Amino acid sequence: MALSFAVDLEKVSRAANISIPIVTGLSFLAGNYLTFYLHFVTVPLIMLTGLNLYYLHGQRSHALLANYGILAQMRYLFESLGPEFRQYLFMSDTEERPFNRVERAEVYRKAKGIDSASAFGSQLQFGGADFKLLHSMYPVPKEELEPYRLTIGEERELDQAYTLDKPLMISAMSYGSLGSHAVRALARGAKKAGIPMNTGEGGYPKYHLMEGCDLIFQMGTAKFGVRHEDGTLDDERLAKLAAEDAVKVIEIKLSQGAKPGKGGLLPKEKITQEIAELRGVPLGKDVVSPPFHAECRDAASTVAFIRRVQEVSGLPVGIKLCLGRDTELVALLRAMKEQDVFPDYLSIDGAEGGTGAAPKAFMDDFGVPLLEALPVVDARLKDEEIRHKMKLFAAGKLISPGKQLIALSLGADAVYSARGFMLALGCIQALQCNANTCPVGITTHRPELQRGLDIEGKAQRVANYVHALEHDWEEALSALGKRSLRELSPENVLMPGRLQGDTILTREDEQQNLINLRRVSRRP
Amino acid sequence: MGSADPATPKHGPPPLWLWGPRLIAAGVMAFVAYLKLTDNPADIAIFTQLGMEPHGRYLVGAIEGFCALVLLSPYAPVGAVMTSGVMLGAIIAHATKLGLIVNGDGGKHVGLLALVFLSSLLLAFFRRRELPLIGDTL
Ligand SMILES: Cc1cc2nc3c(=O)[nH]c(=O)nc-3n(C[C@H](O)[C@H](O)[C@H](O)COP(=O)(O)O)c2cc1C
Repeated sequence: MALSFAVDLEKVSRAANISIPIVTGLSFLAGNYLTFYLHFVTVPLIMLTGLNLYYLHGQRSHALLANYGILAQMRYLFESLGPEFRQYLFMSDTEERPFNRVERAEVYRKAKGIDSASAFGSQLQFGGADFKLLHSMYPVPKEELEPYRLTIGEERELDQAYTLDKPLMISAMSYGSLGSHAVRALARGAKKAGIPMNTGEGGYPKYHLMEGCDLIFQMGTAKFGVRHEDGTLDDERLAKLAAEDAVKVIEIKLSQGAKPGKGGLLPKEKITQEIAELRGVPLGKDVVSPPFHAECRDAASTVAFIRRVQEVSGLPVGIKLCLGRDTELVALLRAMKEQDVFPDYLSIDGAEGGTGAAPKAFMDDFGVPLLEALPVVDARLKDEEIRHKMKLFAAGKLISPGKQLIALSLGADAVYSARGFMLALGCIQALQCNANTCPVGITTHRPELQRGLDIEGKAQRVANYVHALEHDWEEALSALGKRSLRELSPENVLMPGRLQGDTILTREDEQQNLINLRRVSRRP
Repeated sequence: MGSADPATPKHGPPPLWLWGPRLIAAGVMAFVAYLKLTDNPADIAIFTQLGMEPHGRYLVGAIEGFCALVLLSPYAPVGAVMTSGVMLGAIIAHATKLGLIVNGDGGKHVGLLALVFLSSLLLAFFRRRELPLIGDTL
């Protein structure tokens, strides 16, 4: 349904936008020459024409209206019908996937700077199937909360260590999967909010650099932007890129939750001349990145590659992966110990992660979901006694403050979000990211669709979203009885399938902690 | 987005001076409705010229009266949009059929029209966010 909606809305709305003024003109003539009574029709039509012109050309805050005009009002109309009608007509508030309306509405409200207080009760399930936060009986007074700080690269005492003062970053989305307006709005928003943005594996970060935010340059398996012809790393180009002022951190992407074991995919519909140049690929053909880095064929070579990137770039270097086999992770960690080389961070992407395009089987059936993976990785790092050697990041539908705090409690030092920020940009989850037809102009390169995405306005929404989250983190932190986000621990989380009494999880009782966390990883 | 949202911020109270245009528009609409519905000769002349006598005159008179009521009700912004619609119709009439001076009134009729049009536009503009369906997008 989603697909036909796109094609139809576009054609139908174009027809409507052209015919409204024409019919208005005809009605005026008929009123003039046939009977004045017809002006009872002309007048509303004139008003409609005016409203439509305003939607199309006068306003900037509603991308859908700017792109499609009055017909897109249908969406607002249906929304205004409220849940009581939608439940019967379409889908309930908690039914849509991947993000239901309740989850999305929270991001929209935060992005628009609207208070997110709700009424009557939660709409979510309480069947013990979800992770919940465990508050303390003794909340910490607000004045005693400590600011968040996390320095990536401090373990190696890097001159160019990079410090975060918010536990949230914009996750990898390449220019290519996103259009230039979306990239610039995110980058500008990141700058306003004071958080870094990951460039994604789209090659040289042309549009990212325009807005002056801090960047995490991602090197995908195809190494767009820093590759030799044969797909191996071009040290010189990496060094040059790392010398860019805005580039603060390098991320080696080993795999991604939405398609672990598979390389990036950019459908030919979305390859413009410019993208072909930035990535160094031909036009008119799907671009499929290799599933692995040519340099990384086992644990030892992967670690050696990490060292090489660290040496060439001089910057903090992290790796991103979706957890697959536990044993392979352990082997990788042991190889790090053997070579005494550690990435500056390890970013765990949950299997529920998003993507611009991926084969369905990979999206649906591959990889470990984040909240299962995170405690395991944290525990393995502790098992190997190298937890202090690197930071741990997490991503996977962490779009609400509660979910982010759960991840921070289960071992993450900071979290990444991709789709949370897309929603802040006005994503309506039309599920067409691969087709170049995004109706709100985010994952498309077509100028007539990107038109609706007002960079400044949406950048502000990105910043609003971050600020609203910050406010919620603070409130929650106090309730959780901790002074800083870094103090959160598994004792703050109720995990599904286990009663709280089963476990005593405290930082002091590290051994017990590990045993229990392993138990989580083994649950069916 | 938003209209179904119970947390959409409620617009503050409209500024007090908006009562000015609101009362002007409502008063004039009530007055001209009364004239039309009571067979005022000047209106009969106008509607004869428009080819709408007498039904058109009664229809417009009824609409104008209704506008006056809505303007004074809590739905004033809707009334303001309706009133500006009626005025738009009147502008079309003057522009295409009647001219600026009707029945030798030296332009008084058109002046009144402009006054009401302006008042209703002001009211509609400053309270546009309260309009049903489209308010959230304006
Ligand atoms: C449109 C889009 C493009 C993405 N592009 C990349 C990419 O280039 N490289 C990458 O490692 N991950 C990419 N991702 C995955 C995200 O970075 C992130 O890991 C994943 O979506 C989980 O975060 P989320 O649940 O907050 O979206 C992309 C995701 C989306 C939705």
